[in-house]
Amino acid sequence: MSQVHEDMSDRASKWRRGGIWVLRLIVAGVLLAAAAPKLADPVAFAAKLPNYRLFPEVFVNVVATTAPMLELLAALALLSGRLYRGGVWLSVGLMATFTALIGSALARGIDLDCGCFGNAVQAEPVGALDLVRNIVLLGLTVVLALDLGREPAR
Amino acid sequence: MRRDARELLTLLAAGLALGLVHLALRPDLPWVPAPRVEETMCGGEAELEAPAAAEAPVASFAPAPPMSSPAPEDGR
Repeated sequence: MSQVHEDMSDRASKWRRGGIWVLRLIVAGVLLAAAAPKLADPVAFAAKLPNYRLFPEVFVNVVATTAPMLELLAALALLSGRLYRGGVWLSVGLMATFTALIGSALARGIDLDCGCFGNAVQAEPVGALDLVRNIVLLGLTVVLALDLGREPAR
Repeated sequence: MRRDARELLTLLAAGLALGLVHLALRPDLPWVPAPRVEETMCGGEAELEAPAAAEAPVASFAPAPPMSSPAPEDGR
């Protein structure tokens, strides 16, 4: 009887680990897709930041080069497993920040291009769909963070 | 939990350092940008503020015309 329980528990654990790996790949893929065009053309990204009307002018270029670097590091941490726990929390922080920025722009009725993927996608005014997408991504990162409590760092 | 915070701080510091190096290596991105014209999706380049003097009425020191008192029927 206990053998059956152990088998079921092993199978559930495998499924959970597989699911977590899929989430890691999805979140890391989105972060890489967001970071690459911004790192390649930070000038274009820097031109979009003032439209949020939140960043002081002096910080715009620093944010334009630092934010994609953080996205890249978070993605690499999720994929490689090095500094994995920090990478998960960084992903949560980045997604929460981006969601708050988009929500704030929508609430204030600013029709900006979010610049989320640099110039890789056609510029369109930020909308509710962008907010939903970011909330879903934030949810995925929160699932990864909750899983940290179950398993030691890998 | 302490380990999580330490790893997060390491990544934040590395990201900030790499971002600053990236900024230093880009001559087309100055540390402090020049003031720029605001861009929005609907209007292309929107004027931030029209010069105040251009639209302000010319100051006049001529005596203002007397205010007319309401006609008696207006009060009803």
